[in-house]
Formats: sequence, C-alpha cells, structure tokens
Amino acid sequence: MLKLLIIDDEDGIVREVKDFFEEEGYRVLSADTGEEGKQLIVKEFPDLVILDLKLPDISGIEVLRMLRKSFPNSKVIVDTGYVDQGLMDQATELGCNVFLSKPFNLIKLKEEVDRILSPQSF
Amino acid sequence: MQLASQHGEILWKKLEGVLKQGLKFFLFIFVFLPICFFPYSAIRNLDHLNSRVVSFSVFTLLLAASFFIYDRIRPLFEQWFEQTFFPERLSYKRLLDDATRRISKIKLPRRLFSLVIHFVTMSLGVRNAAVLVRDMKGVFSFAHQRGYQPGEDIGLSMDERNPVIKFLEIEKIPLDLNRIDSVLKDTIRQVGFAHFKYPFEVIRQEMVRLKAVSIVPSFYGKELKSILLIGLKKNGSKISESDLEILFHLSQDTAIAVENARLYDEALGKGKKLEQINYELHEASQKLIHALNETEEANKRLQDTQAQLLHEQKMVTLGRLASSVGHEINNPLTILSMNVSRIVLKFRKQPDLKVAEVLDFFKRIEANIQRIQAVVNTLTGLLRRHEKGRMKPLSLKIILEETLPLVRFQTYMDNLSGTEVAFDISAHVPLIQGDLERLQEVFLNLFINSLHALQGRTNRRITVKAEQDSDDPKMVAISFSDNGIGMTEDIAKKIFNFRFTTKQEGKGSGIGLYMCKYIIEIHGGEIKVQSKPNEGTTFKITLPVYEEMEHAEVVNY
Repeated sequence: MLKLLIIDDEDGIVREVKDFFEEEGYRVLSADTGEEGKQLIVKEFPDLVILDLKLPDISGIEVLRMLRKSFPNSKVIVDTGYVDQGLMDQATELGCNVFLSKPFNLIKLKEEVDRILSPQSF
Repeated sequence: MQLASQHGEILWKKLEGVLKQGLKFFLFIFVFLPICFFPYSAIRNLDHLNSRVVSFSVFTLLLAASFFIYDRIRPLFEQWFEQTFFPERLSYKRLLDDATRRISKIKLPRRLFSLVIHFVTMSLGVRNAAVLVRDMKGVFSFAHQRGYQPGEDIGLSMDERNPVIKFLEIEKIPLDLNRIDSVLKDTIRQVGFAHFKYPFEVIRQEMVRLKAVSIVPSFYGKELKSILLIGLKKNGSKISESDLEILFHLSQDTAIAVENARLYDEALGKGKKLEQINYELHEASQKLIHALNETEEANKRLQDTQAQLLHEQKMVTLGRLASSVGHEINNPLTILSMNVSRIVLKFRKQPDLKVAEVLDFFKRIEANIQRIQAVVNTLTGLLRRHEKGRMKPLSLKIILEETLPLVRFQTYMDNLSGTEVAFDISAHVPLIQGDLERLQEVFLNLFINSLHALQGRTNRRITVKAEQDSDDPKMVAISFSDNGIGMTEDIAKKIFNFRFTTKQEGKGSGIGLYMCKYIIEIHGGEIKVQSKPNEGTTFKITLPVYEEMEHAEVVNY
C-alpha cells in the first residue's frame, strides 16, 4: 500500500485529500504543522509528500530542505496558495517533482500522484 | 604779543574802516535820498493825480525801487573805491579768489600742495617754498617743496615740541624773520631777553635751518594741519604784510581744501570698500542662489526617491495583500474544487448516484463559498477604507477603550460582570496604523473568547499589555491574556482555522479567530497564541507602527 503524507494547515484540504486517496486505496497520513510533518517523514517514510509551503510554524521550504537532505529520492508535490516567484525558485532549486498552485482539484492531483508513483518514472 | 611792525597795519585797517563808513554815508546822502525823493516830488506836483492814496502808494513803490537800485549800485561803488584807493589790495584779493577757486576744485592733497607751492613761488617770486604736513604721530614732514636740494628735506621734519610749531599753534599767526628781528631788537633794548614768552632766538635759528623767511600756519578748526615755508624772494625784497595776509588766508583755504580732499578720499575709499562689499555681497548671493538651486534639485531628487519609495511600499502592501488574499481564497477554492471533483468522480463510477449521498460535499462547498465571501467582503471593505485614507494613525488605548463598552455589555449578558479588565499600555507606545472598526472587531472577538474561557471561574482577569516590539521597532507588540480555562496544544494549533471551534453547536461559528488572523495579517501584522490548560491563554499580536509616509500614501488599487 502506497503511503502519502499531506502537510497542510488547511483542515478542509487535508480532509478531502485524505478521504479521496483512502477511497482510492492509499494510506494517507497528515500533518498540520511543519514540525509534525518532519517527524512523520522520519517515522513513516512516505512514498510521496504533498507539501504546502505556507505553514503556521516553519516554512514549507525548510521541510523540503530537510526532506531532500535526508531522503534524496523522495517524491514531493509542492503546492502553495500564493504564487511567489522567489518561493517557486527556491522549491525548484531544492528539487520537487511537481509544483502545484492552489486552487487545484483532486483529478489533477490524482494524475500527478499516479504519474510520479508509476513504475516508469523510477 | 604785539609785533611793532603790525602797528602800522592796524592803523591802516582802522583808517580803511572809517573811509568805508564815510563812503556809505556819502552814498546814502547823495545817491539814495535823491533817488527816492526826486520822482516823488515830481508826482506830487501833478494836479490830475491829486489823490493822497495814489501818491502814497507811488511813494512806497518808489521807496522799494530805490532800495533795490541802491543795493545794485553799492558794490559797484565799493569796487570803484577800492580800485582807486587800494589797487594793491584788489589784486591780492583777485589772486586769492583765483587760488581758492582753483584749490577747491582739486581732489588730491598732493596736487593741492603742489598748486600752493606753485602759486607761492610764481606770485611772490621766491627761491624756495615747501609745505610740511602733520602726520598721525604729530610729526611735520615735507609734503611738497620747490627749491630745496634733493634729500635736504629728510632732516627738516619736526614735531610739536619744536618752538616754531609751539608758536604757530598758540598764536595762530604767521612767523616772519623781519618781524622777529625787529621784535628782538626793540624788546631786548627795552626789557631784556628773559621777557619773551617764546624763545625767538631758537625760532630764528630754526627758520634759518628751514631756509624760511616766513612760515605760515594752516589751521583746520583749531588744529594746526600744515605749515608753509617761504624762502627769500629772488629780487631780494621783503615779504610784505599784505603778502603774509594773503598767504595766511590761502593757507586756511588750503587746510579746508585738504580736509575736503581727505574726506573725499575717505569717501572714495569707503566707496571702494562699499563696492568691494557690494561685490562680495553679489558673490555671496550668487553662491546662495546656487546653493538654493542645488537644494531645490536635491529636494526634487528626494521627492523622486520618495515617490519611488512610496511606489515600492505600495507594491509591498499590494504584495502582502495579494499574498493574504491568495492564501485565504485559494485554500477554500481548492476545497471547493476538490469537493466538485469528488462528486464528479463519484458520478463517473456510479451514474445512478443519489443527491443525498453527496449532500455532505455540497454542504462543504456552501461553507467554503461563504468563507470566500467573508474574505472578499473584508478585503473590499478594507480597500474602500484604504482609498478613503482610512488606514489611519490609531491609538491602541483608544481602540481598546472604545471596544470595552461592548465587552461590558457582553459580560453583563453572560453574567460575568466581576471580570477585571486591565490595560497596561504605556504612553510611549507609538501609534499604530490601521482600520479602527476592523481592529475593534479583532479585539471584541478576543474579549468574547476570553470571557467564554473565564466562564465559571473565580478571579476572572483580562490583561492587555502593549509596547514597542523590542525585535522590530517598526511594530507594536500586544499581548492579550486571560486566566481562563486555557486549551491544549493540539487545539491551540487549530484555533485560527476556518470553521474550527470548540464551542458547543450554535455558540461558535469557528469564524471569529479566523477573521482575527486575517484582519491582523492584512494589516501587516501577526497573531499567535500561547495557552496552558487551566492556566489561561495569551494572544501575541504585532501591528505596524504608524509611519508618516504611509499616511501620505493613499493606496489606489
């Protein structure tokens, strides 16, 4: 069973993603702060992280940096509610599989998740 | 002192006075009276003008006319008289007038002395003549000379201790070698040498040393200004009393002319100085104008920079707003979108799906539409205020104090009247920048939350502290504390989330703190919460200090 981790402080989004992907047969973990997300990454080794850049405690960039350092091969979808070129550049530099701008729908997210986690992309 | 040879002169002057008086009397009797009376008596004899009034007025008229005529005739008579009886005197007078006229026209003292020497040597025919002028130290030295050997004049200077100078200064009459000689002879014979007020022997020696037969003093006011040395006449004759008199007058005129020249010189110097000052003034004013221009330019540059800054600040504000709005709208939009896509996917899988089965999705869609609505309403309201310049300098104290009555009402309603509310806001806290109503909304929400947290507790207390942020002087740090029920960390994390509430159904909407955060962020500030269960809750808020420049800016989005 593929393991997803969504790090987002927006409850509504977390719930939709969780409900939807669990229905699709994934195991979905969630964290609403950066620190909690980091802990879950280390503990659970998720196959894919869906990371919001705007978090209440630490910046999503920091989480991404830690993730890249500890697990260079990990898969990440970065999303943000506000397209900040600087943040985008930073995220790209650190490396992320996909950069999504909010709002995005589940169909789009599902496509990206499937593409990233399909065997061809390894 | 009386010089013997002057006696004749004085007698002669007296005689002259008597003769002049006689002449005036003669003129009055033989000219004035006949002029008056002849025409009058002639008119009186006319029969057809036999009116007293007419004859009297004619008489008066004639009287005035004869006075007028007499006035005109008298100088002519006097001139004729002098020409006839004192021809020598007249020629001197002319000479003097001429010299004086010429002297008064000269503006340079040096030229003046040269003219005097020229006049003296030419008119008197003397071998040598010189003018000695007193300098600032009181020493008389050569100003101009004729007939002295080159270099001879160096040793001829003298000061006020010199007997010659002493004599001239006190007696104010010319010195003459002939007179001294006769005085010496007469007086020694009569009373002895010791009688003299002045050491005439020494004076005589001095005069010989100076090669002067006569010395004429020149006064301006009471001050001896210069002396004129006159040497021997070329033809060997003596210098007469009249000569001396003329020279004396000439010398006084010279002194006046010299003084005039000096004043003129001084005025000229002052004029030049004034000109210099004027020039400097002009230079200075030019520099000032230049400096002013530069200042103006600098000012313009400053204004440009300010405009640039203003623009940048505007962009920053815009960016901040866009960021907040982006976040606050894009999140609910994402949720909306997700719900829609879930419904769509469900229908794809299960085409006969009943609406009741997806009703939850629609409820969530509705909730998030409301959320977006709230965000947009707040934003447009804020922007409208921004446009009207309603982002004003605000006193935190006033915001809180104006919010308090609303809170009091709430405490009364909630039976919490015993709650102590304390403001600890020092006078040094700077003004903040914001929208009064929106910030009051924030604090009202915080008050209400605190009051709910205080329900059922004793010693209820709410404390609001404010100070300039020690980390960032551009911010004011506010802490809003209660000693209420508090909350766990898990709850504290979520309390700003949309629709998050711990209150029972119908009491809380889960929007209050969410809007608080949004409003504070839109102001450019932050809000955080610290809480411990059963101890209390503290909200830490930062808000930007009011800045003059931001006030000047009216953001037009």
